[in-house]
Amino acid sequence: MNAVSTDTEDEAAIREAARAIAARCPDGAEGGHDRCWQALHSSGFTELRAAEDGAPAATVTQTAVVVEELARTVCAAPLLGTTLATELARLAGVAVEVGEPPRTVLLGPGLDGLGRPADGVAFDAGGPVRSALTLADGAPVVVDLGPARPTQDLTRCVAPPEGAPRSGGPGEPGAAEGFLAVGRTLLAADLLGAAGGVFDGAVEYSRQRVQFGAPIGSFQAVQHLLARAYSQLEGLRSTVLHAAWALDSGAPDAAAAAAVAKAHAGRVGRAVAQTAVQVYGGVAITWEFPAHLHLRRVLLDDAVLGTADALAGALLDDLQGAPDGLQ
Amino acid sequence: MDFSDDAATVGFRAGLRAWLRDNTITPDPDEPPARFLQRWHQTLFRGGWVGLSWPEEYGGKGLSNAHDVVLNEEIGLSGAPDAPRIGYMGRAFLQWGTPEQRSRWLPGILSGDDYWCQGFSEPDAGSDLANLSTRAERDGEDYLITGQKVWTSYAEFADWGIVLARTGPAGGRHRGISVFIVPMGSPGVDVRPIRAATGESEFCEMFFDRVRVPADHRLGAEGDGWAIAMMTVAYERGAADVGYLSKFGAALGELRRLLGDRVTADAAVRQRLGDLEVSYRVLTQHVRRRLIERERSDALPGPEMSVDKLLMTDVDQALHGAAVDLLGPTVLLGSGPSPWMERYVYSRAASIYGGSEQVQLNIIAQRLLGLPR
Repeated sequence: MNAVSTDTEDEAAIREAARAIAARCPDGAEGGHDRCWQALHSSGFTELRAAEDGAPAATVTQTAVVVEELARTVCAAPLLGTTLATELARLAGVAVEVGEPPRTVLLGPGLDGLGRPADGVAFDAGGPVRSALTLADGAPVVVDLGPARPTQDLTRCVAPPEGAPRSGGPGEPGAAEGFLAVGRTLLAADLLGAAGGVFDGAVEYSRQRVQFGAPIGSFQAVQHLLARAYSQLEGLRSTVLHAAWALDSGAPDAAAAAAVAKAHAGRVGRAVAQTAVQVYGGVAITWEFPAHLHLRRVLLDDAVLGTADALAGALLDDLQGAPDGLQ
Repeated sequence: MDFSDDAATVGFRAGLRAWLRDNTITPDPDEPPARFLQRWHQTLFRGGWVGLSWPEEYGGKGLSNAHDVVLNEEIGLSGAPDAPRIGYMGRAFLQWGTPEQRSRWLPGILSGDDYWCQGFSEPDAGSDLANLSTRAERDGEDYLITGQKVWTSYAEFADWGIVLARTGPAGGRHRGISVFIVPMGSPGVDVRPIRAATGESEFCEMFFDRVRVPADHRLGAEGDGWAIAMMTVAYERGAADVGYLSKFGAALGELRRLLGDRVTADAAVRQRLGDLEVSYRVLTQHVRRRLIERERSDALPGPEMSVDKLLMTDVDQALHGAAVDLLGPTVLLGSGPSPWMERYVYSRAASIYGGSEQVQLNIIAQRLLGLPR
């Protein structure tokens, strides 16, 4: 497959490089993703949102491209969690030492936002991740992590805080809000990739798999399932592009744009992954076949930084002028 | 991808908005909808808002497509009647018409002084348009057209009809179809309005009994009809969709106001409206993306517009279905015409007209996903 038609030249080049890394991903939960992490690191893809001359090294749009491409194979390298931590560190003005092991973010027990050291859980804490970043009363705090353990998303681990939290500096105003908006947009990109990857596989499979003497992809019932899922993915791509643009261009409604993208991604990502499983049929219900890894990824992604249900409701509260809303 | 407003349209938008505030018209008592829409078309034309992206040589303004988008958007926001959908006819005349045909018909199309209807569908040619059987037989310098058309909007008020008829052998499918411009007052033309389930009479049946049409009323060569028809179906989607979006947005806002405290107090109402708000915003973002892509590539719309039709229909039906559910007895127990009920019934047509949902899914599966037939 070639670059997505909405890419600029830069984005297309980044997508190609990310895709090349994903192509060598072992595509499974059984490990071997340290090599993916090394490849991401040497391409600079682990520092996309780090400060470079006072601005992020890459745009949100470019970052979303990398996240999407690695999610297409549900790569288990902790790209998303560490990218979120880099974003939070930059926004909150946390100094990062060269050669420090990568950090992820500490979320609350409900996963819907940043958590406290007392009861938080480090998200996407596999591979080389050893610590997590969060905000406590607006000030950045770093916690070391205990041993990572697998979750129902077999490609993403969590880890508990261990030991005393350390201050990461005084913090910056607006860091929490900025973090949520970028975080939700990148989660939406992860959902786009996880659903899009298994969907493309199912389309290809429907061309090969013969039943009743014909490829199942020639049956209208199967065609309509796939066609509807494709249109859902296209809508999802549009809202991810829009949210990323809103953040990159400093649009005033960027927070709402990110919430819309994440809410939609939660719904559509799950629907599309479930359609792909249906088209694959029995093979998708085996442990060996990776379809269930995509299904597991979209379920956990929906819960992180606000479910579709919660964000849609909050968006409406905002429109009705209710306090709190999207925060 | 840059979603920001095109700088060239910013001043245009402001001028248009001010003009709409002062010039929007309302129907006179007993004025038929078609006549009202024609009067609105003529009003817009006098204001200089019709044919924005047409070449200046043919009375247009020679502006970018983005201006058509702004026009539809602002008209939808202001609550004014729809912008006239004549862009596809301009395109058809420019691509297939002779210079004589262009100078004869384009001015009246632009000004709205001539009212046009579109005779495509037939009783046995709905989703399967290539099955049409209306015939045009050559007779000296003329053609004689015989057959039946259906779902023709406002045919009873039209001066001219743009009609698909078979000039090749029967059963030739998409080959051997031609386009004719038929004066609706011709002997042998019989128009009968159909009362729609909404209560309105927008659609008509048209019967042609050896209707004599001069050969210079044929648009394009014999056999060009299918290509012309396919272009017209998709041509105005993008920009016109924006007009629908504005209406959906206004309907959503009105629904929220009508539901008042229930929006936040009733968890089920909040969830349903929240989901609608998300789907509606995604749809507007998607339509914007398409317009940006089209502007960038300068391509005519293709099979990807079937995706847009599906997304548009989903929001239309979810929104108007939810309105009838949530307003409940307020709507259902009312007597006589009810705007919410009419919109609900009309939303059910969204997955039928302009190529049914199932036809759109076939197009996506076969032409975009490349699945085997």
